[in-house]
Amino acid sequence: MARSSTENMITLMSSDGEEFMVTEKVARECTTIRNMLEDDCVITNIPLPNVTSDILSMVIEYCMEHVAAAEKAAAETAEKGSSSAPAAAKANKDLEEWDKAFMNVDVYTLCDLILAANYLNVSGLLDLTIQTAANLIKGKSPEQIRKTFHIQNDLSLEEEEKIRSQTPWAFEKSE
Amino acid sequence: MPPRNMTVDLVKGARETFENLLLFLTKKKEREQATVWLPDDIMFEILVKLSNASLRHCLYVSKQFHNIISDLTFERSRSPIKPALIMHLHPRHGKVPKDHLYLHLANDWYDRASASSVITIERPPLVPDLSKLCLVDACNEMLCFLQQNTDQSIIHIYNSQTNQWMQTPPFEPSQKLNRRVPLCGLYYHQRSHYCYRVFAFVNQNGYLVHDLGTGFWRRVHRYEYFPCLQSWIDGAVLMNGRLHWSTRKEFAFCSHKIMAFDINLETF
Repeated sequence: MARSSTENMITLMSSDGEEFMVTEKVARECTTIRNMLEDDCVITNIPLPNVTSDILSMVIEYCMEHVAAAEKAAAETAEKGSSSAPAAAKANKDLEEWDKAFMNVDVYTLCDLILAANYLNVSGLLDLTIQTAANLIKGKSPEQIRKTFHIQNDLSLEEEEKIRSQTPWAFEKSE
Repeated sequence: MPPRNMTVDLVKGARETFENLLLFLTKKKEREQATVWLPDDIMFEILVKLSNASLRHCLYVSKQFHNIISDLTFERSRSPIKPALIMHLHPRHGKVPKDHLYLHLANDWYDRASASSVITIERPPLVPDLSKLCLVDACNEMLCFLQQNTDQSIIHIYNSQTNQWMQTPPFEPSQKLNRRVPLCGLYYHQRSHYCYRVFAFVNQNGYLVHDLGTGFWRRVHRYEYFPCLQSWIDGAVLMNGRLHWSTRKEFAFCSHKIMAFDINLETF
């Protein structure tokens, strides 16, 4: 699909001063930016002081992939009049696979992505990253969780004992 | 022989490269030693997605983890059945055997699979007329129903994990608030472990607290906070360990008051 030349380009500037040119459509995936654009439509240069360039490039990559997938699905629907279920299911599955591969990052990057997704308000990316983080915690012992997330144990032995005696019954049940 | 200033440049360049490398290495080392930190609200979103079995381990990870998990609002948000999301109790007269209760849920989760937007539970024992039952609260997979008879009220608690019913001793209903859902709250009392408590407001008698399984109501003595006879009570919300509700006198529209009841200390 040829991209129309009239489409607005927006420059996003990361905290370390790198500039990223994206189409308005991609930028609108971030609710925070969409709100800025709707408040004042002549903005073309948006500084994002909370996001570093490597994380911002990942966020943009995610948005571009999802915009492209949505456009493709819309184009197919327009061509055939109605979307065919198997094709749509396949496209969904492809996107899921892409998301899965996209989430193959270290914990630091993952946490930075969560913070960026939260700040820029990209709901899809936020859900994806949070679910990924939850999956990392799932089924691990406290020590393993600390190791995975590089968390320091700031609980004293007495405090741990206290927690043990206070655990509500709901958590005692194994599932 | 290269000009002198060129040598200086070369040395300078080499030193810069070296310094950059050093900076990169120290940064890398810092990064490896750095702890991952996420704000509480994001951590909350992550932990909410976990099962009870995984959460048990998370309690011991760090203070942040423990504080978030032991927060009462956390327990509430994990509960699949939230009072605000339950539209109404639906007895389905005449259509099906009347030994079950039907609950309609208005949660977007349940909307997606419409079949599960109705949940059925066994009817409580010793309740002749199901239409007298009314759902008032829910907490940690426990449902709290109020049975209003003309002379007395009973609160029935349903534990959705064990499918068991419990009931409180009867108490006098508040005549003036008869047609409205009275203020009732079910909550987990953290200080006395393994104990759920029910809080109820009864006109003239004041406030009552019942420890599940004990068989009696306790009065909470705070006379100055009794709403007067003709007052409305609206929207009880449990938040940050306190039960909140708003109260106002009838005919005096500008005298709204927010009341808060600390469920741990039993103070207002």
